[in-house]
Amino acid sequence: MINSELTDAQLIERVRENDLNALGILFDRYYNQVYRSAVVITQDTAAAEDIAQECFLKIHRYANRIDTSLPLIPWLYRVTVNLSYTWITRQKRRSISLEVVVDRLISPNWLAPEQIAEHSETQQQVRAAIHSLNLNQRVVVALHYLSGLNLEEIAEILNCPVGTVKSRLHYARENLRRVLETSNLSGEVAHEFAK
Amino acid sequence: MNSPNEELDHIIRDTLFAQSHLPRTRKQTAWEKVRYQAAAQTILQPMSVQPVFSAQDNWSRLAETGHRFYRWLSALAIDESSYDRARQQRYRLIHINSFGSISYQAGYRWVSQV
Repeated sequence: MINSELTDAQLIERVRENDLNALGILFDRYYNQVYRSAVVITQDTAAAEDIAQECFLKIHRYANRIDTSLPLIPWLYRVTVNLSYTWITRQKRRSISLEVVVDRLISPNWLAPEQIAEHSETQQQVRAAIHSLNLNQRVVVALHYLSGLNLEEIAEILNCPVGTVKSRLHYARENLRRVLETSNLSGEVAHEFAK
Repeated sequence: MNSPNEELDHIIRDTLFAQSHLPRTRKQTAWEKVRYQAAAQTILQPMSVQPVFSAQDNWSRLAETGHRFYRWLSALAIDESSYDRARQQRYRLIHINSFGSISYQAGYRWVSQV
C-alpha cells in the first residue's frame, strides 16, 4: 500500500518502476484539474476525457524523462494544452459528419431542456460567451480561473511572454463583460458593470 | 460589496466550474481505462543528454581543425589580396595645404597639383 502523502516526485520515481498504484494516486490528485482545463479549451466533454486520460498515459510512458526536480503541475498543464490544441486543429480539418452531430447531441455536455432551465441564465450566457472566445483567450481563461495560475505560471506553461498572457486575459474579460452587458438575461450583473 | 471586476471574475469562475463538473463514476471509469492502457504500454528509457562521439566524428573534427589552420597559414603567407587593396588605394591620400594646392601621395612621395 502506497502512502498517498508521497510527493509528486516520489510518485514519479515509483511510476518509473511501473508502479500503477503510484500512477493512480497522481490520477486521483490531478485528473479533475486536467479534465476541467481540457473541457474549457475544447468545449467538448468526450474530447476532454480522452485528453485527460492521454495526459496520464504520458506520465507513465515518459516517467523516465520527467524532471522530478521541477513541479509536475506545469508539465501536466503544458501537455493538456498541447493535446487540446492538436485536437482542435484536427477538428477544424475534419468536416463534421451527421454521426458526430448526433453524438454531440446525446453527450452529457448537451443538456435536456428541463435541465437547461435549471441552470442560471447568467451562466448560460457566460458559457456561450466563453465558447465564442478565440482559442488563445480560452486557454488563458481556463488556466487562470479554473487552475488558479498566475500570469507568470501561465506564460511559462504556454512558453510566451507574460505581457501576451496579460493581454489575452484582458481581452477575454472585456469580451465576456461586453456579452454580459449586452445580454438582456444578465440583469443585475450588467447593471453592476454599467456603473 | 464586490467590485464589478470581482463580480465578473466570480461569475466566470462559477460558470467554468459548473461547465466542467465531472461525476465520480466517470472518473472511476477513466482510471480503469488509463490503468488498462498503462499496463499494456512500455515506459520509455531516459534520453541520454551526453553527446556520443564515434571514432569517425573524432577524425572529421581533426580534419576540419587542420583545414582551418591551413587556411589561416595560407592567408598569412600567400594571400596577396590585402596588398592589392592597399595598392589600389595609394592615390586616395590627398592633402590640401594652407596655400590651397592639392597634393596626393604616389608611392613614397607626394606629388603636387595646382
